[in-house]
Amino acid sequence: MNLAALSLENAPGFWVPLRFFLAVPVFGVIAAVVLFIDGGQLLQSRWQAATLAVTHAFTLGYIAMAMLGALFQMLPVVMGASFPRAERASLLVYLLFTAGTLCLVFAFLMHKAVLFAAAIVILVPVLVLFGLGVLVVIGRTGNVGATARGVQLAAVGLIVTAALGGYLGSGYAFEGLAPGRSATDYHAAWGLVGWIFVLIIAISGQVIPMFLATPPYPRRFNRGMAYLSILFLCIGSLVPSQGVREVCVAAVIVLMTVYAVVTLKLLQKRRRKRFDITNWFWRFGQGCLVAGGAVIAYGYSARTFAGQDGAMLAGLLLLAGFAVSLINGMLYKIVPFLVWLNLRMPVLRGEIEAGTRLYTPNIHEVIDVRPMKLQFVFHVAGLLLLVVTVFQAGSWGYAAAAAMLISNLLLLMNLLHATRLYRKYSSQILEVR
Amino acid sequence: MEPISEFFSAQHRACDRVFEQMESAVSRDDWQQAETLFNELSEDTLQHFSSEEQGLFPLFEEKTGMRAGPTQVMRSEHVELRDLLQRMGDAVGVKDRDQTLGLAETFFLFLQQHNVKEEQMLYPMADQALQGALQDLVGKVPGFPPPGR
Repeated sequence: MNLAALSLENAPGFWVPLRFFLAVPVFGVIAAVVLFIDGGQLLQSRWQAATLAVTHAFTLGYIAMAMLGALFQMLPVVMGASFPRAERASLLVYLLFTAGTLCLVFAFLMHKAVLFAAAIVILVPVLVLFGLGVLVVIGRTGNVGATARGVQLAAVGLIVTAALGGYLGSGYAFEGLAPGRSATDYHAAWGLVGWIFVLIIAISGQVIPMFLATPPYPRRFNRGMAYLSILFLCIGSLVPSQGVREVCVAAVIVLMTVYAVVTLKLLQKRRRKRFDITNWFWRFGQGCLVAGGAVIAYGYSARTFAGQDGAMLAGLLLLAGFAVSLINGMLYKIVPFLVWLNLRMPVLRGEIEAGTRLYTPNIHEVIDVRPMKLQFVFHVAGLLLLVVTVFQAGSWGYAAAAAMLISNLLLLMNLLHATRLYRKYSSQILEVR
Repeated sequence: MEPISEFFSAQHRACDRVFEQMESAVSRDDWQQAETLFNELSEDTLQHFSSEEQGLFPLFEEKTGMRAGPTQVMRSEHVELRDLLQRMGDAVGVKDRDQTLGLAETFFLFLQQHNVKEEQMLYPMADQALQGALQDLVGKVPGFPPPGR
């Protein structure tokens, strides 16, 4: 185990994760604007270009953006796994990943082959290298705990998803290449299950008991869930049989439901009884996970869903409902803590003489609870309206887009408030020194 | 057998329980109860810190030769936690609910990440490095069980 990594010098600087976190609601705003311009028409089919633009604004710009930032913060601090030249590497990943995601979103919107080509050339190497980097830096620590293993499995999921995405994108970028639609299903499954779901399983095993003061997950639960998810994903992808594939999909739905129910039970047993916004976001997110699994199951047995493609509704619930809610809730836990921690860092590192009086706002003062509650309301409203829009296009679509827009603007404002406070007080620290 | 991990991690859990009760007492404005629980929390936490700083850490440093490493980080985090604890005590003393809960959240989150580092890295390492030296801990750490029992 790498004990030297415990050193506070190894904690990444404040802006390393924050850059990523601030970009998260910006991509939420972009998704909402595209939705608004389209008036909700795009939710009628998952194959429309604008639908794919919104989907990738969420999966890459919102979800992966938050997860990359969180991993740059978490790997050194929790696992002692540091990227070489972490500051520079994270900045480079951030810039390239943001540029690549913007290229992809606009490529779908504008049907431009050159933008698809740019997106592939940027995103595939960045995500594959990042995934390999995660595998290596965790591998080097010798850490074989459930969280470390889960994050490594998720990194494999990310690599496979990015490679399949590059393959699919090449069909838009280069004439004559036409990947089949079945590759889209694999790309979506690996992204949703192999990358997002497995990473959430791994991280929640560590953070839910710790931050929300719940009992721990059952022994070996998170490890087993992560391995089983990847196992069924591999079998379903590699065995060329419709029957086997359907069994694997059913198995993954069972895993998702079990994970959601166990997590909800833990949250119910929270020992800290006071209000916690993260708890609300997590409960709502787990509810969306159960609903999303049920929609996939229903779609598989009945084939159509009230005349609609069940995949659209399931995707909405699992991405905009489940993953986005969890990330949103976690941002409200992590960002105020990082503001406080980084303001105290000079004291912790002994750079300020002991006894120097220095006011540091406490965590509740970094982001006020009222605007967070307000944002939660718009977030829930936005998602429910989106669900309605799947069945009933038209004015519902505008309402959904508006609620989503307000929700993401509020999230952005809340995060910016936190970073402003950091700037203000860190300049005071400089004066003290 | 991981006697160090077990003993010190159990103290973390015990302190967490008292903290949670104190926090709910503050939430329901039961200040008398909150003050009693705060005193208990403060006493237990400070005792745990000194068991580490006077007992475990010096022995760990001696056996591993790592003096400027992880134990130094843990010590500086203890300084910060003591400061937060004291400010929380002041806030409980003047019955300032918002300030107490804000400091409580800050204390709790910082404490949790501190505990994770100890439980996942430092204690397992100490269990390995101090296998033959557990008897030395018995005298220095109140309540530490003698080896072989």
